[in-house]
Amino acid sequence: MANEPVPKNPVLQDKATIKEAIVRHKKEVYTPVVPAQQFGFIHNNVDCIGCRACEIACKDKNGLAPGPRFRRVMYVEGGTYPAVYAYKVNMSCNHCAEPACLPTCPTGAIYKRKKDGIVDIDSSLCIGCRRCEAACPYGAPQFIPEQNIVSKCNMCVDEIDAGRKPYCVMACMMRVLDIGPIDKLREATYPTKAMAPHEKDKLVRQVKSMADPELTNPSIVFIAHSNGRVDEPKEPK
Amino acid sequence: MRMAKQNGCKFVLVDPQYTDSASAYDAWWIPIRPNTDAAMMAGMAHYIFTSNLQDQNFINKFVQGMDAGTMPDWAKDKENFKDYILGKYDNTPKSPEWAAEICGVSADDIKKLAQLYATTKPAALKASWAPGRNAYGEQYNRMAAALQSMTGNIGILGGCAEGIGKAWHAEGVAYPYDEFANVFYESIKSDRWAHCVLNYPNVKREEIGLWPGGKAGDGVIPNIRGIFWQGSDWFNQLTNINKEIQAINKLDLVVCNDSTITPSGLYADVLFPIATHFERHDVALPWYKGHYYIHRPKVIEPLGESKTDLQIYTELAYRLGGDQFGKRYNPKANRDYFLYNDAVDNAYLQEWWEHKVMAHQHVDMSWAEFQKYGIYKFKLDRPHVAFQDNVEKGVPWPTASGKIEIFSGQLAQYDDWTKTAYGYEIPAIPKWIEPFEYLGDKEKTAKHPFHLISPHPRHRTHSIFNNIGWLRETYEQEVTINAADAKKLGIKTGDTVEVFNDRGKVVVPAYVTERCMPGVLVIYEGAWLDLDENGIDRSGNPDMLTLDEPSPAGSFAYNTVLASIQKTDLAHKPGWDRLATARSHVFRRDL
Ligand code: SF4
Ligand code: SF4
Repeated sequence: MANEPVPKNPVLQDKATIKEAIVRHKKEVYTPVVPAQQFGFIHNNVDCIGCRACEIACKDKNGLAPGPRFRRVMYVEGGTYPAVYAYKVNMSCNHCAEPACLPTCPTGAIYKRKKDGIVDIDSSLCIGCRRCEAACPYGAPQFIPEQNIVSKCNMCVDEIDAGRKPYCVMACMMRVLDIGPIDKLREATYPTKAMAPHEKDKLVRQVKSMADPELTNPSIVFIAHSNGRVDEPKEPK
Repeated sequence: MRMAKQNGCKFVLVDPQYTDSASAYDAWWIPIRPNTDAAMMAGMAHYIFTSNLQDQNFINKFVQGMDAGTMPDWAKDKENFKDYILGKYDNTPKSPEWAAEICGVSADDIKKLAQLYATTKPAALKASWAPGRNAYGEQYNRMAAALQSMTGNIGILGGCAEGIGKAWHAEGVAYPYDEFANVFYESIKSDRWAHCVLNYPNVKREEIGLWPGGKAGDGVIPNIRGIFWQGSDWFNQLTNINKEIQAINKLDLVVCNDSTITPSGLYADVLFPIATHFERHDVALPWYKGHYYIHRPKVIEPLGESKTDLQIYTELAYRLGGDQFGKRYNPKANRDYFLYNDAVDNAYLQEWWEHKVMAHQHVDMSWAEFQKYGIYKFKLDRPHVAFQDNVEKGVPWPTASGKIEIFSGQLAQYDDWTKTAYGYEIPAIPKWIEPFEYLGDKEKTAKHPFHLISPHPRHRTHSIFNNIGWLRETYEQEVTINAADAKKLGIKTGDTVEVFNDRGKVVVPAYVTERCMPGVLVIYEGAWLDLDENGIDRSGNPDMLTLDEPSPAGSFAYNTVLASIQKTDLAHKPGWDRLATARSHVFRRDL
C-alpha cells in the first residue's frame, strides 16, 4: 500500500490442476484423524481493535520469551488518503482438519486429538528440525531457540479439558475472538459474541492474503471486512 | 461502544489519524490539522446558529452567555458567544468557510457534521483530551461545552458533557493524608520547573503559574534547589527535555522513588527502591469512568531493600520532624512502621471500606468478604448520567451563577491576569486563538513544515512498562508519516529517520501510511530517553521536541509542536536492552 508495490511476474496457474494435486498429495502421505467434534476459532476482523491482549495472554500462559508468537494479530490497511480502511486478521494455529504440519514430522511428535481435533506437538519427541514450520501455510509453528524445539498453539488443551476457554479468548475485552465447534460456527448456529446476528453474511473461511483453505481445511472462520473478502472484491469505501 | 454500533449508532472521528477505533467502529473519518479543533467547532456553531438548529429552550433555561438574552444583567455590555460566532465584534463571522481555512476540513464537511450533530437526538460529542493538551487547549474544551449545551445534549442519556462528565464517583484514598501536617501553599505549573530553575531570580510569577493564594510566603519566586520525584518518570515525560537536562545540573539534590530505574532515576542523586503493587496491600480504584473496586493483596514481601512509598515518607517524617510530626503524618503507625507495615495498612484500608464505601455507597459486602472475592462491581439501578438532576430536577449547576457558564463570570471579572493562577488572559467566552505554533503559521512552517503530535501509546502506560519486552514486541516506537509526504522525502516504511526542531532531535523508524493527514507526524509519548554523545535521543522520545510553555489554563502544550523530518544514518535504539526489533511490522505493513 504505502510503499511502492513490487512488480510480480505472472505465473500460469490452473485452479483445477492445483486442487487435483492437493488431493493426490494428501492421499499419498496422510490419512487424517477425523475427530468426534472439531473445535475452531472465530474472529471478527472489523470489530477487533488490534490491542494484542490476546497475544500477550498467550505468551503469559505459555511462558514465551520475546520472539516466538503463537498468536499473531496481523494489521491490514489500504486505500488512499483520505478514503482509507483498516482491519485485523488474528490467527494462531488453525487446528486444521488436514494439518500440513503433521505428516512432515519425522518423529511423529505432532498429533491430532480424536476428541476435539486439537493439533498439538509432543515437545518430548520434537527434535527441532523445523519441518512443520516450513510446511504450515499459516506460520503457526514457532521455533523456540532456547529449547531447540518447535512449539505452537494447542488451544490451551488444559483449559479445554477443564471445560473453559483458552487464554486468548478470555483476554479479549472486545469479545471478538472465540472458539466453538467449527461446523456450528460456520453455519452461524453457535452462540458467540464474536459476531452480531446481522453479520452472518460476512462469515467467511478465507480472507485476503491468506493461504487457500483447500490446502489443509483450517478450523477458523472470520467476520470479514468488505475489503478483506476474497469472494467479492470491493473498492475502498 | 461495540454494542452501540451493533444497535445502529453512527460514529464520526475528527482526528489527524485514522485510528484503529475508527476502523473498528466504522467511523466517518474527518482528518483535521492538529491544534485547530476550536476553529472547526466554532464553524459548526456558526452553522447551527445560522440554520436555527440550536435548542433555544435548553439554552434559556440552563446556559449563561450563549447569546445576548442569556447574559447576566451585570455583563450586558460584555461579549456573548453567539455574537462572537456571528462576527459582531470583529467583523469576522466564524463561518464554516472561515474555519476550513484554519483547520483543513472542508466547509461542506463542517456543515454536514454540524447538521448531523444538531439533528441527531441524542448525540454524544466526546471531546477527548489530546486536543486540549495544546496551546489554548482550554478553548477547545470550552467550545465543545458550547456545542454540547447549544444542542441540549447535557444531562441526558446518550448525550455527553465535557471533561470528566461522570455521574459515579469512587470513594477517595484510604491512606492517611493529614492535609495540615505539612502546609506549603506555593505551587507552580510543573512543566515550568526547568524554566524557573534556569532563570531564577529573573522569573515573573505568570511565567511559572505561581498561584497567589493570599497565604504567607506566597508569590515569592521559589529558588528550587532540589526535586523529589515520586510515582512518575517525570523527567522523561515533561516537555522540552533538553531544557530539563540543563536545569537538573543546577540542582543540589534530586530524589527519585521508583520500582525500576527509569530515565528519571538516572538523573537522581538518591534513588529509593520502591515496592511494587504486588508487594504491598492496597485497593485499586477505577480510573475515570469505571464503577468497581479491586483488592490488591500483598503477594510477596518487598524484594531486596525496597519499601513502600508510605514507609519511606513516614520514616522521613519521623526523622525530619520528630515523633510529633511522624505521628501526625501517619496517625495509625508507630516508629516501627518502616519494618512492620502490614497491620497498619490493613487498618487504613478496612476503615476506608467500612466508613466510606459501606457507609456511603450502600455496599453490604464486608471487608473480609471483599478481600476474599478480590473485586466489587457496583450494579447500578439505572444508567448514571452526569448532570441529570440539574436538567430534570432543576438542581443548580455547581458554578457561581448556577448555570452552565459559556460566559464565565469569574474570568470576566479579572483585571490583573498576572495575579491569577493562569498568568495570562483567558477570554470569558470560548474563542479560537492562534496557537504558539501550528500548520497555519507561514513563517514557522517555512523552517519546520510538519506538525508533530504525541498521543498516548497503547503498548505502555505513558512510559511505564517500556522495559517489558513482550510489549515492545507488539508495537515499535516509530514516527507515522503520510505516504505522499514520505514519497517527497524519499522515506519508506522501516527507514530510520530523524525528527527535529530547535529544541531537540530524535531518531526513529518510519511508518509510512495513508492513514495519517499530510503535514502531520505522530510519535507516541513515553519512550525511554537514550541519548548519544551529541545529546540526540535514539529512543524516539517526542518530549525532546515539545514546548515547555503551558496553555494559560494550565495544560501542557504537548501537541503544539512544529518539526522537520529527514532520512538519517544515525542509529535508533528501540530500548535499553538487547531485544531485537519487533517482528510486528512483518505482519503489519504493506500486505
Ligand atoms: S495451522 Fe499450521 S500448524 Fe496448525 S494444524 Fe494447520 S498446518 Fe498444522
Ligand atoms: S484481544 Fe481481541 S480485540 Fe485485542 S487484538 Fe486480540 S482479538 Fe483483537
